[in-house]
Amino acid sequence: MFATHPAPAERMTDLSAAADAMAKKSGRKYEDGRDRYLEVIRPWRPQFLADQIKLNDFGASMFLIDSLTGEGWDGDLFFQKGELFRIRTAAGDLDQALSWYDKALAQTSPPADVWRSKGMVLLKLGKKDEGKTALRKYLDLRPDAPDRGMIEFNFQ
Amino acid sequence: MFRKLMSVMIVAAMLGACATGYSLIAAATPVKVADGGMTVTPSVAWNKAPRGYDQPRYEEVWTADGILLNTVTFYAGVPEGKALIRLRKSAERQAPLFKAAMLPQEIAEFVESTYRVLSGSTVFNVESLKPSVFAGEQGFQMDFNYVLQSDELKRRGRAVGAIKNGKLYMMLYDATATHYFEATAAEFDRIAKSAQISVAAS
Repeated sequence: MFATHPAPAERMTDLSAAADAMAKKSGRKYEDGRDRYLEVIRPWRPQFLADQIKLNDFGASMFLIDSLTGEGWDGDLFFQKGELFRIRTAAGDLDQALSWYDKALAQTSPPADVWRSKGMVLLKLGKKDEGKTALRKYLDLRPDAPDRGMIEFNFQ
Repeated sequence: MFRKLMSVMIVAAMLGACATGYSLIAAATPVKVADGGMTVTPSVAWNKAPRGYDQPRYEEVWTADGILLNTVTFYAGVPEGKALIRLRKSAERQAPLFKAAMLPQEIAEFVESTYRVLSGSTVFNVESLKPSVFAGEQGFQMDFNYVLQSDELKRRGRAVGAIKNGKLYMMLYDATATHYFEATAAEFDRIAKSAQISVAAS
């Protein structure tokens, strides 16, 4: 009786059906701007995903990353998936994180932060030499890293 | 500090009562903080904020000019599996939990994540993270800046701390970027240098 606004899911369904019907009726191909949108948003997506992961909501972040992989995997998506496991640290999560970081590093131009996170995970797994190697690689790629002082302290 | 985030949300209702419940911390006198978990010696007088009903025993907040302008928050012995602030179990998001195996970089992420969850802030930048001795223990110092979504005022912070016997001991300095951060930063550093972890608490 008091429902004056349709729920979001209902709106999405109705608008989608209306758009399909309009396209079918007119026979025209409508420009949806998706390619242009993806081109503009792509440089920002890593930052947005990193911010999302810092909200401490494993389920929502996993859902978001898995949704984005519908467009295809890239180095950043593999990396962010690894970050979810690294930060959660449930049983087996550190090994899971490593496997996602290695997938990221196999891609073209993976983010430098993969080396940082891989290094931290290796240190926590007791693989100190490998961890330091990964962290050195990170510092080579990001000479202005804000945590350079802390990382170099780990090398002592 | 996280008391401030709550206060921004209810400040209009509290304006008439904000002067009650504070107590004076005298200058140049050692004082136990956060339920006796640490002892510090300020060189100037501070105001101890009243304890909130949901405030953990290991947390205590001081301010010099008002909690919306500058705060020093003491965390004396955050145990494994506990957060820096209590949220209702029904809250949409939960604050991250401290883990004794955290590296300093992960403690920095833990602090940042707490800020983001509590304030909804989408702007948080770690300016630097470096090793530092705190209360006689090898620890860290993190400098950062952020913006609260509610008032869009740029703020700066400094966290110094260390893990001892599986618990986190930390001091968190938080102030507006304009004037107040610089005004009491040196005093925060002096208080941090004076910090000692209580033997019984550790």
